[in-house]
Amino acid sequence: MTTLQQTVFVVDDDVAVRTSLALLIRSMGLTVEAFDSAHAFLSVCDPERSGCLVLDIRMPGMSGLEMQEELVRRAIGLPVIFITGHGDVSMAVRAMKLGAVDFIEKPFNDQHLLDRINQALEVDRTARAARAERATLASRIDLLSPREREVMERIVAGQANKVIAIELGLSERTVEIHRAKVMTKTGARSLAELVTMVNRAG
Amino acid sequence: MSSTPSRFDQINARFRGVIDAAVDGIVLIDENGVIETFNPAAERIFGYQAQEVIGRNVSTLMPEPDSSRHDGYIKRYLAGGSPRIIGIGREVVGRRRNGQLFPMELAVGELHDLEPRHFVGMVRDISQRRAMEQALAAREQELRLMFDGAPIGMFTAGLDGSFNEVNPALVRMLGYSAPDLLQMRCLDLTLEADRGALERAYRGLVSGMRSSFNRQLRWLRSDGEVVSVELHAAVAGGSMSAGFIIGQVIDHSERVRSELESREARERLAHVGRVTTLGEMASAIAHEINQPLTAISSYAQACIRLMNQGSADQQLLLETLQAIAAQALRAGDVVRRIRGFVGHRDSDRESVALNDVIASVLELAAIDAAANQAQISTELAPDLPAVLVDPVQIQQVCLNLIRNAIDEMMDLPEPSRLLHIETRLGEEGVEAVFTDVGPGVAAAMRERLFQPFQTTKVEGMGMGLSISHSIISAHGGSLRYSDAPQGGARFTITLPVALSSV
Repeated sequence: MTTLQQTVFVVDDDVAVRTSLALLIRSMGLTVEAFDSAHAFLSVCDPERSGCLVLDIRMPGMSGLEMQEELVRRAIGLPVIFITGHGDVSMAVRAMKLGAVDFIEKPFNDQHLLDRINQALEVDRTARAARAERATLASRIDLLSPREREVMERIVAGQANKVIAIELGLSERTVEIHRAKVMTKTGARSLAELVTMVNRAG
Repeated sequence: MSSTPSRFDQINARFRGVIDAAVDGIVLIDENGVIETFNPAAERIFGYQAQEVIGRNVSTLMPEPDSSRHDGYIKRYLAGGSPRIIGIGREVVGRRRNGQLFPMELAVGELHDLEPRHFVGMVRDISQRRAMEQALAAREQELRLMFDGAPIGMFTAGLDGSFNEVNPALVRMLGYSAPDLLQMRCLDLTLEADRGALERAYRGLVSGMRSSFNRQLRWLRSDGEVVSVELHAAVAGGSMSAGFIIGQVIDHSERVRSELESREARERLAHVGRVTTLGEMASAIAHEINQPLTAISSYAQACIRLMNQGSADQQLLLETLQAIAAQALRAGDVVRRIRGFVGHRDSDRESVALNDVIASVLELAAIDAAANQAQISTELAPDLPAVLVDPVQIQQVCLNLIRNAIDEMMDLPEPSRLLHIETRLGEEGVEAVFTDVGPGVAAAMRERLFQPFQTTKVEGMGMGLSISHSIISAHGGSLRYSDAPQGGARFTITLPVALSSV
């Protein structure tokens, strides 16, 4: 597995905060891209790019919260770390409910920030890996014929070959052949593995 | 010697001269009331020539009912009745030739040694004197009303300072009854420490060196409480021996105390108002200070990391340190603006340009406006005359109006949150007009708009407009509400033009 290129996207309207934050994150050895508004970020945002967002909660135009809602709508799964001023607790709570990783009060401790960013990047990596796995599994399951799929569903549900044969009006032998095809096409080496795969593929 | 007058003629001529020269009118009648003599003074008084009335009944000279009864009066007297007027003299009403009636003093005497009997009437026209007396009485009554009804203490006193008359206000002020006061002198009321000053002023008055004086004194009420008074005393009545003193006493303590109290209360309220307004703005202000602090700490931590890594580029470090310095100044600037606004200090009026006051408010209000995505536009008239105000208090009022306007517009979409501030010269002074595009003030709220504890805000105390109104009133100006032509609220501050700039 090659190392994933991850980027920290900073969105803050205050030029001093934005610039200093970008420098700090860069000094941590991370890749940074900074934007002065939600719109500026959204217009170039690529769902394929991995990373996380460091987002000012209070911005003119589209606020950090509104941007988060927009990300959810667009199914862009980038984890969000909000940076907040004092007294924005109710906003922060709302942000957390929408799935923000964390919020950090300004001014922030760099180690704390670095921990949060690393955590967010990890979340994104995991999520992307899970999504990739799910996509692989789904494509394997797609290889099954309709009849094989019917058999697989019943195997996973724990039915014995005999029961499946009666239910589907097949000979027990035919069920056994379908079952072998299912195992080959999905690449599952055991019943347990197959059950896990199907569950993960949703 | 026919050319030599007889003795009788001489005497007659002499009396004739006396009668003609008399100041009073003299009318001689016989026992039937027929006029025989009518002197020049009588001619002047009644307006008749002597020859017009001689031979006519004297009743011509009097109005009804005396006129038709006069013959009866004479008959009754001649028949032995007791005299009603003869030898007594009294005030009666006379009738002039032109029909005008007038008051006169009449003295009647009987000439006993003539046969038939004669009577002489001496007449003095007192209409002018009567008119003067009536005018004097009216004037007296007028003065009496002023004296009794005056809101300040008044008295008259002899030159020795003992009271002759005291008015009800003075009685109320001092707590003594009027009869008690009339037994006292000004000096008796005066606090020991102030007696010297009063006596000196008094001597100047009595010696004629000055006609009046003004003194701040402490007087003792009947209950022992000290009253600070301002005594104005003047000598009246011309000559020193007949002179008296007119005194006017203002209860200074009451006025001073209430003025001081209301001013202190106003300033305390203004301070509370400023702090409250700042409290309402706290989130915006905290944000504004936090921004540079965040930048500073981030820059600094980045520098530390870069230097620890040994990868620090000198130029980058230099630029970062410069950025840190600039951000520190930015934070200091916000603090300075707040300190200038919130500092508690005495009211200090100076002649300033209202535009400058508004410009300084905008420095601070801009933070709030930006935080709430509201736009403030201004239209400040050039060359406005100065106003005499406490700039900090007026800032407070302006900031309060801006704060309210922004609050009122928060339900509107961001781009349409507009507050327009205009200054101009109106009829009653310099005006500052704040027009927002919010919902305006509901009709039900309008009447109580400037009363305390009226609010539509969940967290508001409802003091802002009340304080603002009292501040502007204390400056002799007005704070008024009207609906803006395009909807929304419009508040107009009017401040009188400073005298020096008129």
